[in-house]
Formats: sequence, C-alpha cells, structure tokens
Amino acid sequence: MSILAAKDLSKWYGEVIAVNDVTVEVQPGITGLLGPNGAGKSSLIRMAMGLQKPSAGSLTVLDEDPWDNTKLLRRIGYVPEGDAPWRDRTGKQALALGAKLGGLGGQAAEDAAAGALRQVGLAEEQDRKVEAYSRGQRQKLKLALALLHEPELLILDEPLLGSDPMSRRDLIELIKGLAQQGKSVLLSTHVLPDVEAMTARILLLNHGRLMAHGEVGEIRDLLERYPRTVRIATPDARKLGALLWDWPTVLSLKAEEGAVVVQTAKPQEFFAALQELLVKESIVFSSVTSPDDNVEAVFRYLVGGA
Amino acid sequence: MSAAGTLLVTNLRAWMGAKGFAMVLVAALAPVLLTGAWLATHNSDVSATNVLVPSTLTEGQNVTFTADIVNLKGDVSAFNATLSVGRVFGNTLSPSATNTVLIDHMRSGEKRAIQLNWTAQPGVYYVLAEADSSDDIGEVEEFNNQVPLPVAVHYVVPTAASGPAAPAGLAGSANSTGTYDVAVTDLSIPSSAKPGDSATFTATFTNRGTAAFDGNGTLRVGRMFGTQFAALKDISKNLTLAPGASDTVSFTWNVQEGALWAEAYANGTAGRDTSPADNHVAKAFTVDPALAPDATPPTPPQRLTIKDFYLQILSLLHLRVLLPLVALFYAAGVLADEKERGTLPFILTRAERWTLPVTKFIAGYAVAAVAVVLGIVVTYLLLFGQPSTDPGFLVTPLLVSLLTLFVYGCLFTLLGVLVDRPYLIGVAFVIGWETIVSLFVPPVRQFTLNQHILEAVGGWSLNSVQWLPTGEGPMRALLLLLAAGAVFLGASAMWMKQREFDV
Repeated sequence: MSILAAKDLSKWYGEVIAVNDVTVEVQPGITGLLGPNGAGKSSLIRMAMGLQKPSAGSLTVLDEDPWDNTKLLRRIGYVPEGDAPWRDRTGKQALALGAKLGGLGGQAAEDAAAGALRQVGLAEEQDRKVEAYSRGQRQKLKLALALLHEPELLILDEPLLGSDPMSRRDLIELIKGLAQQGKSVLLSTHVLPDVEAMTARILLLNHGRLMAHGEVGEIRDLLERYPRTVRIATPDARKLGALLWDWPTVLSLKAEEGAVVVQTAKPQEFFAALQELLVKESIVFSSVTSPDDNVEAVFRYLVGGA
Repeated sequence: MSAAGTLLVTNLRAWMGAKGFAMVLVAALAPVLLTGAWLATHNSDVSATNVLVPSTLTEGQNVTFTADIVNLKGDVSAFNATLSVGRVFGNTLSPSATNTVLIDHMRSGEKRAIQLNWTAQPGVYYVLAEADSSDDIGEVEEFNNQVPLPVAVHYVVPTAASGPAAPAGLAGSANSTGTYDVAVTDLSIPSSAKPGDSATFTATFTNRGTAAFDGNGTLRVGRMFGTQFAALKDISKNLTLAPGASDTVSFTWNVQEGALWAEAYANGTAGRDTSPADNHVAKAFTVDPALAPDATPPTPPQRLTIKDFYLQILSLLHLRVLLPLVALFYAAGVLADEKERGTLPFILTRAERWTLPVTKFIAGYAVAAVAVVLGIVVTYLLLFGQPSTDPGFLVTPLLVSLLTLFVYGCLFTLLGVLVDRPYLIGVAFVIGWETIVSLFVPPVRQFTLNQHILEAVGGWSLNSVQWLPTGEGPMRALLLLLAAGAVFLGASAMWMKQREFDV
C-alpha cells in the first residue's frame, strides 16, 4: 500500500498551475517533499488533506480519496504551516480540545493529550499557555496535535520552520522515532540538510512539476557538480579577499562593499578552511551565508537556471 | 461530547473575551445611550388641564374660556401656551379666536391660567387648550399637551316682529258680499329637533263664518333674510270648508339647523272673509347645532412622543442598522476568525465541515441575543419606567429583534463561508443595500430583508419615506424571514462541504 498515489494530478487556480500532471507513488517510511516557494508542495499537501480538490487526475492517500473523508483524515496526523492553534489555552487544554474535535471522549481526550505531550517532550510545559511557548515548542505542540489519534501517516508542512537548533534536533529525532514506530511521514521543507537528517528519500517539485523522486544522494551529487556561492560579510573585505585569492577550493572571488563573495566547488572543505582562517587572522565578520544553500538553489542547478 | 458539541463550546468560549465584550457593549449599550441622551433632553412635561367651557352657549353671548397650563416635570424655559376656539375641518381646528401666551419660565409643579374672550356665534366649536403649542421644549410625554373640548352655540329664537308678514289678498274679493270667516286655528311645529331630524308641521284651518269657504290653505317653513321669507319647504292645499268645518294641511321635513319660521295662511278664491286678520299665523323656532356622534376632535400635530422615539430607535437603529451590523460581527467571521487564530486547518481536518458554520452561528447568535435583549429591556425600562406599562412594547420588539438577528446572522454566515473578506461586503450590504437603496429606490424594497422585517411589525411608527408597506402582511413576512434564514444557514453548511481551502 502506498501512502500517497497521484495519477496525472494537476491543480490550477485560474490561469496559475500549481501542480502540473504529477504521477507518483510514495511508499511507507519518511519522504521529504522538497521544492522552492511556489513549487506546488503546499497544494499537494492540501489535496492530500482533503482541503482542496484536484483540478485533473486523481489522488489517493492510504488508498482512499481524501476529499470529504473525515474518517480517513482522522487516520492522518497533519501539521499545517503557520503558528500553533488555541494559543490562549494551555498546552494540555489545546491538545484535549484537538482530541475532542477528532471525536475522542472526555477522559480519552485528556489521556491522549497527556500522552502526546509526553511524546514530544512538552509534558513539563503542559500547564503553560501556548502563547508563552517558544517557536520550537509551538512546532512540537503542532506535532503533538498530529499524534493525538495514533495516526498511520503524518503529513508535516515545514515542521522545522523557525525552530532553534535544539528544537530542530529534537524534532528531527522525534520524527525519526515515529518512523521507527511504523508511522509513515511525508514532510515538506525548503532545507535539504533537514531532510537528509531524516531520510534519504525525497520528492522534488518545481513549478508544479515532479522534478525528481528518489534518493537524496543523487540530488546531492548533482548539486556538487555546480559551484556554490558563499558570502562573507566583514569590514576587512579587502584583507580577506587577498587571503582567499589563491585557495584551490575557490573558483572565483568578488570583493563587495563590506563583503567577499566566493564561488566554490567544494563547499565542505571551503567552510572548514574558512573557519580556521577567520580565527587565525582575527578577521571580524558579521555573517557567512550561502544563498545557494537551499532547495531553490538546487532547483536552479537542476533546471538549468530556471 | 461530540466534535460538534466541542466546537460549539469552543465557539461560545471564544466570545468570552474582548470581542464578545465589544459586541455586548455595542448591541446593548447603543440603544441605552441613545435613550439616555433623549431622556436628558426630554426631561420635562408640560400639560394643559382644567379647561372650563360651558356646555351650551347662546348666539351673541360673551364668554370667557379658561384653562390651566401646568408643568408636571422639570423646570422649563420659554414656551407658548394657546387657547383657541374654532370649527374643525377634517382633523384641523380653524380658529375663530386665539389667545397665545408666552410663558417665559415654569418650575416643576407650577401652574398658569390662560383665558380667551369670545362672542359666541351659532354652531359647533372646539375649544383647544395647548401647552407648548410651538413645540419649543422637549418633553417626555407629548400626548398630554392638548385638551380639546366641544361646545355648541345655540340660536336665539327670533322675535315676532322679525317674522314674515301676512301675504296680501287674504281678505278675498273686495266686491264680494260673502260671509265666510276662515282662520288658522292651530300651527303645530316640533318642540325640539336636531338638524336632520324628520319633523311634522301641521296647520289647522277652521271656517267660523256663515257661508262656505272655498280657497287654499298654505303651510311654509323657511328663514327670514331681512323682511324677506325664503321658504325651505312649502305646501298648498285646496280647502272647501262648510261653516264650522275644519281641515288640516301638513308635511314632514328633515329639519335644517338655524333660526326658522313656520307660517300658515288661507285665501279664498271667491267671496270675502269677514275677519281676515286670523287668516295668517307665523311661529318662530330654532333647530340648534349638535355635536355629531362621529365628530372627531382636532388631531394633535405630529410630535415625537416617548413611544415614537422608542419605536424609531427599534425600527431605524435596531432593525435597520445595529442588528444587521451586530449579525455581521458575530456571523461573518465564520472562517476569517478561525484563519486569524490559525485553527482552521485543525478544525477542517478533524470535525465534519458543516459543523463549523452551524456551531459558530449558534454560539454567536446566543451571545448577541443576550446583548440585544439586555439593550431592549434596559431601554424599555428607562423610557417607560416599569414592566407593566405595555408588555406589547417589550415582547414584540424582543421577538422581532431576535428574528432580525437570526436572519441577518444566517445571511452573513453564508457570506463568511463564500468569501474570504466578508466584513467590507457586509457593511456595504447593510448600509448601501438594506438602508440607502431600500430607502431611495422603492422598487427594490421587497428584495431587502429590512422591508420584510418591518412588514412583520407593520412598520411601527415609520413614515412613508422611511418605510412603504408591500401588503404581504405580518404572518407572511415572518414565515418568509424564517425560511430565508433556514435557507441561508443550510446553504452555508452545504457550501462549506464543497468549498476548497488554501490554509
């Protein structure tokens, strides 16, 4: 049984095509749904959660049509994008409410709420109002809401967005743990390393089209063939530029006002060496960013600069 | 508890915060504040009382009417008080004489007398005493400002000298030697009659002579204009009377008002009357004006009374603007509120979709209804003081307000399900369509909810500019509104099942 099966699936809003003739079968386990903004990830997830109807083609989740299918939806744990709900309530109250809305009775709802809070590590925070939670805790709460009904499948829309590194690590471990318990997970994200930390299997969308469906390593290899841009913001741009000029990992270098922009074919080596250099030469810097270090950039490489 | 029950409780709870407080504040306090402002500027009450009018007057009589103007409540500044006498045409007094007095200041409980001198003329009149005749002061009660009393002025019975003279030629032929002596021995007229009454007039003719009388007996009723007699009814009859014989001439007539005369006379066609002086008799009588049973006193001018104000608050503020806007406030956010709170995707993927608009409607309606009932009850008590004044003035507005809240709530629930930004459309609908268009474009009135709501209460105190009845009647309007509400809410639930969401 596939957790999600699309056949010639399309979704358009007026003249804008969000999902374009996608045919795919997603097998149980963890699958990362990757793509830049506007790729069609959210539309695919909304159709999977019965919030939107396909414009053409068909979509089944757990072998059932999700449209107007409350029974099926209660077998799925859904973490939508956005903030946690019921922020004026305590974590425990919010979860109990979610459980009751899903059809659980009084004590069963309370028990499910307590269990889900323990599962995501928020048991100690259960009596605090959700509005007082950190961003990471709210993401965990959303995950706990999705777990209330012991779902077979979790559909997570940007579950790590806005989380601090600690929460991000916790959430990744939690999701991996859930998969080990036999739950299937379909999660969307912009960030490739987040997916890599959980699964090797990804589904790539761009402009509504299915670009790739397979192992992340294959995509990674593809990425490595193309140079990566790194921007180091520093007041000592001239000095840093001179030091980096003859590095073998640097393909090109450009000094800007207050920054050095480098292209490298081996980012891992470059970052390691750069860290040492900055410390050794006592170069003050305010940020090191890689505009390419997201799926949007991957797509640029994949689709030839599209 | 079912998912729908949980949703209902959650939605009810959502109203327990600032938003619910704001709605209660607006729905309950708006009419109360308006009423308070009205009461603050309408805190006095002057009244006319003790109007003294003789029950009957006689033509030409000089009379002085008196009345008291009393201040029942609050100190008042300058206002006019008027005492008038005149005839009523339609519902309006056409004064024959008026005395207007400026009362510059009057304390509570104070009383002033006003009077009017008049020389009575025959007819039916009304004496009208009026406090604040120029409507200079705002009063709690305007209905006690006027006291109209009828008065009838009777005719004076004409003197004998002013009556009709005997016609010429009653003595018969000057060359004749006949010896008859005809005389009007009796002239019977009604002792009392009202205008329009059927009365019988009879003249008795007797021949007192020694020869037979052959001639005419005439009976007439009419008015005198100077020395001329103008007959209103007359009859002549051939009489042949043997010596000592009598005969009568008679007719029935619907009498007219006025100072009238009846006369009878006999004149022979041959021979000579030995004593012609008794051939003619005239009698005066009066038919005095009387107040018709269906006579109506002059109607007070249209002024905003306390009940008018109450009904206008309800019909123009409540039913036309406030309640639709409150309904918009509580119902249109069916999706927008949940989107804002970030709860929509969680609800849509857990509960049956139709439960969201239905439970949100029920919760919002319940809270809004409490606020509206509170506002109306307090307004009623402020204006009328006690619950027993007129329960109909409380119960009907409550029921109609709840119906209004229901039908608009259902409509705006549908709007909230159909569009993402319902508030602007809703306000435009309430202000533009339900108020302005329905007021100034009469043909579309029947397509507004407000028209049918006002039909259900018969328009209350609204004038033809504010409301024009379509004639559908209260029961049909009521059923139509209930059906419309059910359709709107049903459509909301149906559309909710079909609608796609981008959350």
